[in-house]
Amino acid sequence: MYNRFTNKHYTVMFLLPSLILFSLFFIIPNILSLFMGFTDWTIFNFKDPRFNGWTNFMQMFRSSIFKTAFYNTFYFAIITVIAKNILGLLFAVILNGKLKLTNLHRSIIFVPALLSPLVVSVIFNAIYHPADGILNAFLNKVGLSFMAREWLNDPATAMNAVIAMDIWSFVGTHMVIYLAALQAVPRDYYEAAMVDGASPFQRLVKITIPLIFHAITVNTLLAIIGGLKVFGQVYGLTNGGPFDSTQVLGTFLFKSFGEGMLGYSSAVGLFFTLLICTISFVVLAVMRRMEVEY
Amino acid sequence: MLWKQRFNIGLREFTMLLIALLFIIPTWMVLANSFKTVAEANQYGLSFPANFQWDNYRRVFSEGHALRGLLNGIFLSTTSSVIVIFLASMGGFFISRSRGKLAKFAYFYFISGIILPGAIIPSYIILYILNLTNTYYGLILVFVTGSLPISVFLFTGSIKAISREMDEAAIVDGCGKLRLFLQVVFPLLKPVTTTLFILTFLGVWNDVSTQLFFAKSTQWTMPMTVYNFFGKYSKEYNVVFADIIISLVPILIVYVFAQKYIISGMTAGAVKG
Repeated sequence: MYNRFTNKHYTVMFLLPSLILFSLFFIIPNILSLFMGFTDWTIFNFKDPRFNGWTNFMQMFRSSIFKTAFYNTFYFAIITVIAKNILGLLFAVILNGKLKLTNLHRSIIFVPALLSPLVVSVIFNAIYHPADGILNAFLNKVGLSFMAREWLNDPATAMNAVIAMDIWSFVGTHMVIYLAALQAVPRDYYEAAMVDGASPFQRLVKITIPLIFHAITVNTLLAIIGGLKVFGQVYGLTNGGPFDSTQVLGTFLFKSFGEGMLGYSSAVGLFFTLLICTISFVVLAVMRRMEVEY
Repeated sequence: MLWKQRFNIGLREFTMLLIALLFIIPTWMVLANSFKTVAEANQYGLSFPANFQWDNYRRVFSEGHALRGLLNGIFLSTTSSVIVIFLASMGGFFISRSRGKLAKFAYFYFISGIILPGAIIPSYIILYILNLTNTYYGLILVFVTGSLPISVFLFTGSIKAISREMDEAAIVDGCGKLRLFLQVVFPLLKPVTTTLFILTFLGVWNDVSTQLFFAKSTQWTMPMTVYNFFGKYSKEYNVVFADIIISLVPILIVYVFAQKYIISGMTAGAVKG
């Protein structure tokens, strides 16, 4: 049935607008960054950029702020991936038990994910406030005043403060995905397992986890990409400080762009892109292999 | 019901309540303090406001340009979403229907954008060359491009699920190319269209980096202006909180009316089958 008669009705004119736009603002910039990263281009020699080989990359790897940013980005990504997935799955498992207020709970936990990281960071600026913020006020009230800190001004705690805020914001997204996956697991599998005398833990490990593994893959990947790309949360809460202790690759890129270093920041961006791609593909390939068919 | 089961359910309810408090308390802190005086609000107490200071909200509009942020946000988000839906649905239509090599290539071409991040600095140069830096047009083009990959992906999938025989019947009846798409196929795509409209709307509304890199502050959407406002008024948390509340209202309205579509957009592809 698929003859030329119908096929000519699908004209390429349908595709061209999106293809052109996508090429212009996505593909071409990505190709350009391959070249720009190897130039000494700044806003000060805007008309006269020159190729300078690997200089930008050497400068980048020598920069101690870059090293901090690199380390922090991984620290941020690893902790948030683990916490968001464990908490998201835990909340979903509890909510899947047909509670009275499941929908209300789901909404309460999920809505923060719809807020701008900048708005959330203004709220957390108040929560972390050293003198009167509700976190320290709470610690003082329950007799844990020795734990109260200047959360955002102390290099030892600032990064973890940003991480806690990010988990608070986005655990809802992961919970919602896990909940949808859990609701799709056929009930009779559990009934059969219960007849066979499987313990709750065995049911979780032998039935639930294998059957929702696809959701685990998606959630891990989402959290990894979100974690490596993190920008708004850090920019809003600490902007890289105090003393560059919370600098991540996203803020480092913005900082060097702000200094007018077009070539150098392109090199940073290029490195960043390759890093995210490599990690995403490796994780995807490994986790895909672990999924089961049912 | 066994008492043990009851105890289990009670324990779950109690745990969830504690977790919910972690999310409710910060929201209440913002809401309650947005009606207090500076002196009260800067202590971030959780008490009910003694006297409602409606003046805080007036100042948000007069000094914080909240109206401009709201209008910018609604304009940028709506325009970008409409354009994305228009372009991506047509692109997806070609990709899922045409049997040529171009369609296959275009599919992977767009999909690359789901994992690869956009290159910000060269995009800035292209905007500069086209004379579109610091303009609404430039911003909208970058936003549209950013949400094209996922939109093309979802539209292609949905259009594949629509039988080709329907197209053939329409063509036999003498339906033209554009009409075939607009009047036969597009109306069947309502669920995915709604989902993508909302996701793109929220994505633009909450965007940080595109606006920070490419736009001037008078063009920012509401959440960006909240941050700006906080920078200037960080000593007056009452007005800052009022500004936050204003910025939350549109999101909550969207959520209440479109909850189903937001959730289905988030979970698209995450659940097998």
